[in-house]
Amino acid sequence: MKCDLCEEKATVFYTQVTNGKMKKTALCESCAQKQGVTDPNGLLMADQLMGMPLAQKVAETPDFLKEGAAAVCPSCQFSLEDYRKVGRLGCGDCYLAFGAEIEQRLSTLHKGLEHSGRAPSGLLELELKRSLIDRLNNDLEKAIASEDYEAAATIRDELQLATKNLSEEESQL
Amino acid sequence: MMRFSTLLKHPSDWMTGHDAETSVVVTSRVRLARNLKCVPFPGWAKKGRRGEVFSHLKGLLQELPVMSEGFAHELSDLDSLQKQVLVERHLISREQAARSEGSGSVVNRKQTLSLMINEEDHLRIQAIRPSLQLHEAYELALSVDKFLEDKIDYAFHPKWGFLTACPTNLGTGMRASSMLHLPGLVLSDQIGQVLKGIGKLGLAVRGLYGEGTESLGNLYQISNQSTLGESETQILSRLTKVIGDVARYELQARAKLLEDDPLMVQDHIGRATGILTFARIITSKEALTHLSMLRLGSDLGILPESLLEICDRLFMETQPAHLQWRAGRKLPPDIRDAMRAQMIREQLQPALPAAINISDSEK
Ligand SMILES: [Zn+2]
Ligand SMILES: [Zn+2]
Repeated sequence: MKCDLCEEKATVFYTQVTNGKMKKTALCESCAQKQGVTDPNGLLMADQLMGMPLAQKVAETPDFLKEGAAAVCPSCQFSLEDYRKVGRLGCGDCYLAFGAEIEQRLSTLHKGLEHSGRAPSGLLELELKRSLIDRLNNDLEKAIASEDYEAAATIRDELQLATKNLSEEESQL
Repeated sequence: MMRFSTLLKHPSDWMTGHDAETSVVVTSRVRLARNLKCVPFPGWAKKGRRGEVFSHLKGLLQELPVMSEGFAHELSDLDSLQKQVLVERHLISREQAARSEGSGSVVNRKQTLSLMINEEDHLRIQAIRPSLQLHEAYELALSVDKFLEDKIDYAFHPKWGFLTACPTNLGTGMRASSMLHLPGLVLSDQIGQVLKGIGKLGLAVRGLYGEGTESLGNLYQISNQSTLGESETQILSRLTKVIGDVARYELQARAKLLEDDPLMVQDHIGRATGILTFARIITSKEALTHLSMLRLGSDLGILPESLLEICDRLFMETQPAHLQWRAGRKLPPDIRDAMRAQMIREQLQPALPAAINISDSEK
């Protein structure tokens, strides 16, 4: 039996049920590895496997969707071309560099587009502090716009404290 | 530090004490994928960098009380047979076995926690519990995660969560799964429908062994597909509910089979017992098929209860690498098949009723 994705002999077989459809797949060792199929806990990307190899699939992406996607990750030099070939990324910053392209794939993979699980303890506090600063900045603008200078002064004090807090925290990371 | 041979001599914590609780849901596993901030993922990092990550993480993990006296090895220190044994034990992945320098495995003594360093991600924390205990397995994995997060900076983005080498794991980085033994649904031809139903709920099912729709040993794994957009608890609760439902269907199917066609059920179990007790040559495929029937017979009270644990152990120990490791060398398939048959006969004899336990005349 031949591999579903190339001409090699298939050695990895599995069945997967996605969206009510049962799909049998046969892959060669190297394609299986590229698809992450050999990891017993890995996700089998039925939608990706059901159609065509990832490289082809992505190549058909309309150009306007690719805007904002860099060709190479500035942090690790991994290229967008490599990502299209192997479906893996080079480092965490690749998500920022290739964000536009990755994001359109996420909707086919996951229930949502935004993380709602836990965050590392320190980071969560950091995020809360960042959003507090955003909120205080907003309030400050409003207070000034409505010429409520007394409130503005209070907010400015809070803002100073929050900013100092955050920069201390950030320098520890 | 624990030696490889010591690791194998001891059965995993989750492999012992099998009873009615594990009759359908054999094990539950939770895996968390984590990466270090500002370090290229293992597949893209240079060899030296991978080595640094390995030493760093291994050092930190060994500070954990739960990991003390555990097993910690770089895979390049192990031969191909040893690696294959770890794969058969689900302690490392097939993918990781193919990686070498800078990739390693850290396992606690009870084999309830298995950490893969520099697999596809810098770290994969895997916890395993018997029966349907996904939340408990998660808590166990989380304890390691929390210990580490105070000591290292994880690659994390507020919108995307934990950043992983493959976007399929993005967000929680969590893959939770249970292994189920579903002979009742298979014998009553309901398995296809149940699998379809699970698929409609956005969960993945696959046979643990074998190819195509057939699953050798009637063992299936059900896991979450999506890792982004839901919290860990939401994912675990949904999965627990679906797996609980499937386990109930399985028990209903068994009860109905016994009621409608007890002779057919007894025939399946009897034939499997006959073959396993008398065969001199048996392939792993045949062994899995019949062990599954023995396990069912034990659950249904047709065969002794003590067989359940023996079957679960044999599922693992009759696999090719385990057999060869026990023999101390690589063996061709025909020799393995003879060894497998002998091992099964020896382990089953004490547990099987005297009526079918006809003695070995050649001994
Ligand atoms: Zn191929
Ligand atoms: Zn990068």
